[in-house]
Amino acid sequence: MYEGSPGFGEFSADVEGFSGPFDLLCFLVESGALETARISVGQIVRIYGAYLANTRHVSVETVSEFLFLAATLVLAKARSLLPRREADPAAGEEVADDGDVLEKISRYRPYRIAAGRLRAGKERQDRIFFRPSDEEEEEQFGNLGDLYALCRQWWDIFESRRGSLPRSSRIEFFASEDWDGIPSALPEEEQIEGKISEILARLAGCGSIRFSQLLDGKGKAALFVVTLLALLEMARMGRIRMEQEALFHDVVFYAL
Amino acid sequence: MTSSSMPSDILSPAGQKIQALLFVAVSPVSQSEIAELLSISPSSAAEELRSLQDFLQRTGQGLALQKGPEGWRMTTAEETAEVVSLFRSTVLVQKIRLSKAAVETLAVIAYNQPVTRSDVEDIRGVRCERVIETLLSHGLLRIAGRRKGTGSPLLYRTTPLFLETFGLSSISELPTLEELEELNPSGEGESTPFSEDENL
Repeated sequence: MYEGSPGFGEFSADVEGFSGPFDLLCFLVESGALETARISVGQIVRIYGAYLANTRHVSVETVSEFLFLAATLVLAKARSLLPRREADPAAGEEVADDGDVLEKISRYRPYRIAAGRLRAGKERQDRIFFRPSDEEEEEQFGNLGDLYALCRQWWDIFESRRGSLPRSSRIEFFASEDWDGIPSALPEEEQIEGKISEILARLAGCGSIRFSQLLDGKGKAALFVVTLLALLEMARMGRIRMEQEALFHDVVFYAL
Repeated sequence: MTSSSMPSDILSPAGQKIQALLFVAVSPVSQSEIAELLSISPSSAAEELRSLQDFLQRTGQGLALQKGPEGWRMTTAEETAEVVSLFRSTVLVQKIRLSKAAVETLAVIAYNQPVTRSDVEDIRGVRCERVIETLLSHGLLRIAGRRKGTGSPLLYRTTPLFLETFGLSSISELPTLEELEELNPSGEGESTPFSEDENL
């Protein structure tokens, strides 16, 4: 029979004792005549699905039978992929399970003893105290958040400044002395001292302030540098506490 | 004569210096650092430390010397625990509360490290995902890479804080599993290992 002939798509092969080709395939797999691992279930399902679609008269029974046989084939394939356990012919399934549990209990016993000893050690250890490490304190004062959050503030300034300039001025913008750091109008120390006073005054009013608020949305590189140096100096002096809620978040400063 | 050869109620000059150093130290001090500071050999430093430890215990100073994974430190004596534990809330933060399930999980990891979660679950017979997460958050465990193979599961190891929490100076202080079996061959007093995981 060839494609396009009147009977195409209705071809069926009946073998005595089997209800269809898929059933026959499953029998061959289960009997070991075919190696399960080498069978592509996906391909078979596609072919059989196409065949069922071509017949145009698919009953619920046929579909359910197809699903049942496909599931049987998948199960057989899964079993063939897993390592087999040699069954003890003399022992029943229930006895084998008990043995498994006993083996697990036996294997676990030393760990329970070890845990008991660890607990005893911890109880002793819980009764002794030592001078607390100042690591937490150092972290509290010295942590300016992650580098990404700090960089982001800088990029915001960079982008806002660049975007506000006409294309012809951008080369000059990159060469501007403003980008070299602090402008020379005031000595560095005075600018930082002034910024410290300003931050303290703002903190006195509200108790806490975000790094982004300190920059006031002004795209000034100098302001960023001076503010950062002022904050570091204040942290060193123990005047502020810094907190970053999560990675990449804004840093919040609290007055101490 | 060395300070340790005869028990004395007076500390040797080196012992006094070590005591002063450990008194001001906010973190453990290694034996080699002590040796360097006192210009003595590491073996002499070890001897002086043992001597000081013995002195503090014998004379009831309310203090003790403890060797941890990162070195030596001065601690309060066990006998003073009641009063010290009432002294300000700061001392309480040093202690981590651990459930029975958490300690057993730690024991399994300590003896098999580096180990995957599924290895631990295979030994314990219960799911350990939450327990491991909590132990990681306490800093008692750390991720030590991934095992090569299917799924590349994470490997876990104990940390120096684990040793510190359980009063160990190194993992080698733990007796082997065989030794533990010999200590308690019948497993008497041990409840079933496959009980449901407790909350931490």
